Amino acid sequence: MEKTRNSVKETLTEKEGLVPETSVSDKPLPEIIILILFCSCFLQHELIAQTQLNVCTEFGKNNVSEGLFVKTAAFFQYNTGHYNFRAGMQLNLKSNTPNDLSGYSAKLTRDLNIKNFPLELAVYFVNIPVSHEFLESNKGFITSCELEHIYISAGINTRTYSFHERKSENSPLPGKRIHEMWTILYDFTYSLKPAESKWNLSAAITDFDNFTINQETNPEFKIGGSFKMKNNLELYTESCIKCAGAMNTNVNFFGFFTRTGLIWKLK
Amino acid sequence: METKVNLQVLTLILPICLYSCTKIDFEGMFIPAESANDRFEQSIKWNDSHPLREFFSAYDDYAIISMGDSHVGETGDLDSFLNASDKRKPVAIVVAGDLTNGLEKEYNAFQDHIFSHTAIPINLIAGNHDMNFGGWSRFYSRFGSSSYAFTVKTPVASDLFICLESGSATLGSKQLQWLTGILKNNRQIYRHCVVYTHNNFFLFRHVEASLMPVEEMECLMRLFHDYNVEIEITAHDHKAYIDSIGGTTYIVMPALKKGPEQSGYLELAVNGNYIKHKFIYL
Repeated sequence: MEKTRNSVKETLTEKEGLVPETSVSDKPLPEIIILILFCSCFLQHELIAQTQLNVCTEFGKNNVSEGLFVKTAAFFQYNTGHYNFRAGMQLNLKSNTPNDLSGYSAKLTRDLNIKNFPLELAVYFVNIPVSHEFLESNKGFITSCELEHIYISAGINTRTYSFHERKSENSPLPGKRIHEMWTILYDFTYSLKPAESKWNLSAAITDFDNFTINQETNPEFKIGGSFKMKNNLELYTESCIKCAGAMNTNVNFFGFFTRTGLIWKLK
Repeated sequence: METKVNLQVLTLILPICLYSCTKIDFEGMFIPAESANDRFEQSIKWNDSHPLREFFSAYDDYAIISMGDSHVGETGDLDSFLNASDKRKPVAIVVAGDLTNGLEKEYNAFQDHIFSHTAIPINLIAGNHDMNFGGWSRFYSRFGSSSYAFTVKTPVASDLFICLESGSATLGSKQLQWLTGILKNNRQIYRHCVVYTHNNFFLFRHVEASLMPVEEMECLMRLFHDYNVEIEITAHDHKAYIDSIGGTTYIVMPALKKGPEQSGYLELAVNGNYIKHKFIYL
């Protein structure tokens, strides 16, 4: 079998410039450690800054999940002045994928106010361990605007897939990395009531979620609701339907998920 | 007042124009004629009532010629492709989707043309454009299954080629289950394994044609790595690309159609343990 793998490699190396770079350095572990250290630095200043914790659980089903999947995620958010830092992590509770960690992310946002028009600019990364061997790395920037009933986001995302050889195997495989072209990010949300309301209902169309970034031609449709239980505690829920091939002129249902979470504003 | 009237006229005329457009099936963007699972079930029913596709090569080196995106209206490039194929004498031809734009007259043109011009076995997969305007029933009634495997036996070994239908940018849960079963149970019997789909896996350039949802693409990447699928061949994008990750080489074929990109096709030359690929431009 190895002979076959080598044969493909040999064939590809004949085509100059077509074979991807084979060195790999972006292992997920150092990034997680950096993220945790970074978050812990902010936690020391908890008393003098606004911090927020968002914990949620989602379940759903799609064409590749082989039954129900259940995931849980936590996001830590730190606000100071015009800056906002958010870091998050998602775990698989029930899934047909081989790994427990299903994503981790960080996002740095700067609030702007251009002629009384509120605008946010953010840079982010989202890493998704696809399996023990494959890692999906997303980087991009996004700009958002929140008005009384409408929330609009737009941005650009680039994605790289990297392949990490298993230590137990001593056989080099061709192709360690694939870089994808940029995609457009969008989120258009309409809320029934202003954001400060005790309860709210919303509907959205988007092509990205906390740990999923799709091509713009694969939209997701969401409906959601929120309820402020206390001044610093908000319960929210959202349901999402995903379709495949809408811009292929042959749409097909792909999957759904429902998410419920709590947002706790810490002092 | 005038603006209001103009808007009302536009609101009335626009849906009529879109509905009567024969290039793009706007209805299909929102309401599918059938699901990917429905189509797969029909394909399996067809497979059950037809013999397995087995091809034989007297030598251990042989060729498979593949093309896609002919979008038949004119057949000039199809003729050139068939003439070149006849000279090369491959074991089989694979047409990886978008044979037509879904219209009856295009299916008739494609069917009349391709089967009368060559005696080489032809394996067809439906693409997204073949399903326009309810085109799947036209594909199925003429060509049968769009989800199947074929094998090539040489005096030394057997190779496995799996053709998948991905016209809706998803295989559907049933086809995925079937593919997993084939790879799990049969992969080790075969020397080489090549998978064909119409839809692309990676966004090698910015196009508005839909790729599979990222979750599905990653599921297939894992599957191909785990079961040593060596080459995945797609069409759809109309521009040739090659890249490789995790032991699988992902090839996007050029379209066999005159357009902004050069018209061409792909030749896979199997030579024992080696598979060489070559784009041939017309």
